Amino acid sequence: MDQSELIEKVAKELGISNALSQRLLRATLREIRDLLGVGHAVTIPHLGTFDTATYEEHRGYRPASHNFAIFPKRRVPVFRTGTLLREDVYDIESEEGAPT
Amino acid sequence: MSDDNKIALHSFAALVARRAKVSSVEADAYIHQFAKTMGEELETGGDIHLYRFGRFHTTHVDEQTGHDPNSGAPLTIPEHSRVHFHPYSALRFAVNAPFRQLRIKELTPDKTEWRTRTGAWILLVLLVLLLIVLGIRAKNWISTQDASVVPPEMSSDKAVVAHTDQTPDTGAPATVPAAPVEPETTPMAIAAATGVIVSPGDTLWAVAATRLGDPYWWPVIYAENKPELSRRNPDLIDSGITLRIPALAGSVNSPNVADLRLKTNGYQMVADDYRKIGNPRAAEYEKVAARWSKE
Repeated sequence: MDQSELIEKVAKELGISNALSQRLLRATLREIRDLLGVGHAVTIPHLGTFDTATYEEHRGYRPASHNFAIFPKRRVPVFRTGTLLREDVYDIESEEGAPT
Repeated sequence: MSDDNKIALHSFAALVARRAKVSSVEADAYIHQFAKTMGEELETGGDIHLYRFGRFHTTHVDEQTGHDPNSGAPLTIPEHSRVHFHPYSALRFAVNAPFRQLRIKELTPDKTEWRTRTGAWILLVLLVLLLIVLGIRAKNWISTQDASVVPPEMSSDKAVVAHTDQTPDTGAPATVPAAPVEPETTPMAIAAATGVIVSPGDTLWAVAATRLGDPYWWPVIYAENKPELSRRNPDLIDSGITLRIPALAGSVNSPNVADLRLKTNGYQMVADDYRKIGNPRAAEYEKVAARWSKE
């Protein structure tokens, strides 16, 4: 699904204009980005959690140079699927517990 | 990963509302609907592409066997789909901002890395051009001083010959100025033209260097004194004779046309005499004379 399709779909569901829907979507994504940038985690109900993970400096193989290198400390965005979505997607009974 | 950095939904909705300039209730409703729509799309197995943010997609996982981590009992994990989020570079760079300045360090430094840098190539090309220009300039300088390749050797063997000359007239009492003797050579000669008595060890090269200021003008002296030099060999002069030094209208550093003609004649004469005695240097002197006469 494209971003424009998502905007139109949500606008139709909520009964708002596409422009407002687009503004809200952009605001949401930018707010998530900015919060992740300062190290916060954002949980969106029924969807999941946007979080950051920090990798310490480590040694690893670098395919570009065909050699090992020291990779610097870095922080990456991670997304953890929410339990409700996981159950929906996995299509299993909730009392069994979703596999991780 | 800890809970202390988590943002509560109502404060997140307030932030979104402020950014989008709508009410907090609208933002909250929007976020819920947004999540719901995305969840529905992911359930059907579709991809969601969000511009400058990331891509959500699902992968299918087959049924597999595992074990219960608590009891160790074998467990069959049913086949299912899995949601993945792939962050785009805009999001990754924003998140990695605190460590942006850090770089990957190679354990074994790559010695060929300079080849990928444009500045190194530009520097190399400039260096080569500089060397070429310097080479051209040096070549021009050498060719203007062409005669310099020959005369020093000649002066040395001439000096040797002058030493072994069989006219041991070493007791020449004084320098006899030649200007009063031959005042009719040139009008300017009265002032400048003087005579030099050759003593053993003297060479035309040395005489030209001391009296004219430039040893390369020695053929001029030779041409001037040619009638007196009976040997007809530019490399040999007898000691004891008096050499007339021709007066130049200009100077050796800024010669005028007449001086250049004198020089050309001298070189031509030296070349002719060399050719008569079979000296291979004749060709070079011929060449120099030809060049001067062209100019």
